[in-house]
Amino acid sequence: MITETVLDLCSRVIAWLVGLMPSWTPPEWADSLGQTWADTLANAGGFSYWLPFSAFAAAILGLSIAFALAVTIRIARIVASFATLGGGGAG
Amino acid sequence: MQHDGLRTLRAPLPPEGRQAKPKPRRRGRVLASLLAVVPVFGVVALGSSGVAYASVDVLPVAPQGIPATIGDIVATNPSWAVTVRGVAAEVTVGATAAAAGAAGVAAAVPAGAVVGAVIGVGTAAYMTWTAGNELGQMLPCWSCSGVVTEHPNKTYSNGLSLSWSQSVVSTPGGPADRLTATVTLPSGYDSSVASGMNAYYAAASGVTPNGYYDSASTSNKYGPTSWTYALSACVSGYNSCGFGQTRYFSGGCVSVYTIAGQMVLRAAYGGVPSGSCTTLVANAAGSTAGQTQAPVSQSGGDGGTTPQPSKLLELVSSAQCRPAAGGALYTVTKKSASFTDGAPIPVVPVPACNGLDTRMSWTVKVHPLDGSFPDKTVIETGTMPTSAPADHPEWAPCMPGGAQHPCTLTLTRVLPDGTTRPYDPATDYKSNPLEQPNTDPESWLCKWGTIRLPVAECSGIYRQPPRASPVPPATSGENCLGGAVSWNPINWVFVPVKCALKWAFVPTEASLQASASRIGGAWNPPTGAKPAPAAAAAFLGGLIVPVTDVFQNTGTANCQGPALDFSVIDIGTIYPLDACTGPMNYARNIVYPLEAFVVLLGAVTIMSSMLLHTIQVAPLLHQAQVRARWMNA
Repeated sequence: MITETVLDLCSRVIAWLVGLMPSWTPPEWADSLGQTWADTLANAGGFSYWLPFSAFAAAILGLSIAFALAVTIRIARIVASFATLGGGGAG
Repeated sequence: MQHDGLRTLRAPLPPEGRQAKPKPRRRGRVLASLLAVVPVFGVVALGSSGVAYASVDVLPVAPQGIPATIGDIVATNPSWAVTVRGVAAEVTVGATAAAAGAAGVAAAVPAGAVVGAVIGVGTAAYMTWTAGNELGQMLPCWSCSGVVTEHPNKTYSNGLSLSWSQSVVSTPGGPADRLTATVTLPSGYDSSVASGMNAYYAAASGVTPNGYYDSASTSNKYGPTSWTYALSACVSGYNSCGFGQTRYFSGGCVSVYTIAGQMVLRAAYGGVPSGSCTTLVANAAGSTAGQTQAPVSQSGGDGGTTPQPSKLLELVSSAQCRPAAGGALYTVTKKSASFTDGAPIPVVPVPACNGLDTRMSWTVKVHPLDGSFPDKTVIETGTMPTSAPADHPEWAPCMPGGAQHPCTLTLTRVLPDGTTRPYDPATDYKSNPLEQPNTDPESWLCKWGTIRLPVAECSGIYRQPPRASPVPPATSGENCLGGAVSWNPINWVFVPVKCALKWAFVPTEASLQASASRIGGAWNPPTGAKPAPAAAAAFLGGLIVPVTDVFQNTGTANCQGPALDFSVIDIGTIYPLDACTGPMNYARNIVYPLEAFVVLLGAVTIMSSMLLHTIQVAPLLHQAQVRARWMNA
């Protein structure tokens, strides 16, 4: 009952907040933009036999992970420097 | 080649020399199915006359929130390029006699049984057929402005190949000894259709005691024919599919029906179906010479072949949804951007049902803004059965209080050799089982617990319970204190405490669903415009999907490379980087791995540099070296 009440309250709050948002329909130019974008990429797809898009995807994924790891390490160093009163160096 | 959808659909079929060249992008294959084929003759149909065909589900590029599990034919941007994702089915001629070995089965096939198939892509249609265990023969294209006589076992310069084959399956003691024909479109065919083109397929089988096709004389010879059965290829296979009915996709129309007692398999490629379609009927010699195909225009079926740019059109896309929590069906509608007659067709919007609600059907109509002609249905999916539990007393064991309740919905593939295996989305996704109820019900088993359901009950909602399945009754607190009635004193304390805690902290499924529905309803209201964040998220999601599509475009399906359209100067479409065969293929096979190596090497280098810089390895090494030098000194 307690969990239900909390969940119910949270869902009402979230629904209320979402309801506060103005409704919006993408304008026609946005649809047109989306189509242009899709057309462009569909045409770009024609290069997939020559360009290793899958390798690009893997590279982007790897770089994203490395970047996230680097940021995490940097944050950890900053936090660690608090414990050592700055002696650890945040780098 | 014309790239715009309706214009291409409406235009008279071009001669072979200008056939649109499909551009494969994804892999897939198509099995066509039906029964009873026949000697075929050239019959062209653009019409909506009594026909049977595949219900299709045409989706724009993977719309957000709508899984493409139902789809068999998927429209990709731009226009109405269609992708055949599903496997239509197998064509089977059942053999009733038990037989051992292929020869035995072949012998058991009814005399004169024929199976056949039609495959169409772009602007041409191909048909082949076979009698008994004999490999199929070619029939001429009968729906083109110029006669195209090409065997379906054809490989195009772009790597696309259409093939048709048949085989005899021998399963002594198994459920189905049968003659089987299969239509497959390998080599990444399923997204091979370029803008504005169609892919269609159908197959049929039947028994024709006297009819046959004489390839040597290229004439059709028919005797008195009695068709014992004939089923249409039914891709999505809902209840509206069947003999004598019509299904359309993007203007294509494939049908099986009888003319003068003869089974006719016919296909057409042309304009948006309208009531003014023309059927060309083969004469006694099997020829349609002298007959002309009436042009069909999207602009009201007025017979015009010239686009009317002043005519403003829009696509009205409507989906009928079944609320997950029960209740009345509701309809959601979206409209495309307006476009002029003859212009490329905009993306077809697909309305999303609310939350977990099930999409029952989907239609797209061409609507003239000036109301000058009635809306034309150009895309129509089947409608899911709307049966309720009360209609099915046999479901009782799985209903609340039933012996098997709660039950699990399972979908099982029955292989030709009679063995079974569970449905595997990874491999079975493309062999859409939706058509099976209409063509080969033995190929799939849909069960709810031990209760066999129509396969349609497992279609499109593999990850959901049967549509009419009840919500399990809440059990929280139910008989919770019963455990305290015990000789164990510990239970006298433990059970009440447990029950109290359970009552306090364990939410019921109903409350969880209510909370989720409340948020889902606010985020994605069933009617009206969405809140700005939801609309923006859906819009941005729509932008991301094509990107992922590009990254997934690998393999030989795109060996043609990018297309350059010079149709305005009557050159047509050329593919300057066509590497499907020849020296370009060798060059590509050298260049491609090198590129991949360079890209990955660069990525590894950057990643290493980034991480080494972050953990500051260089200063540490320097310090270590200084310390070592000092120690040595």
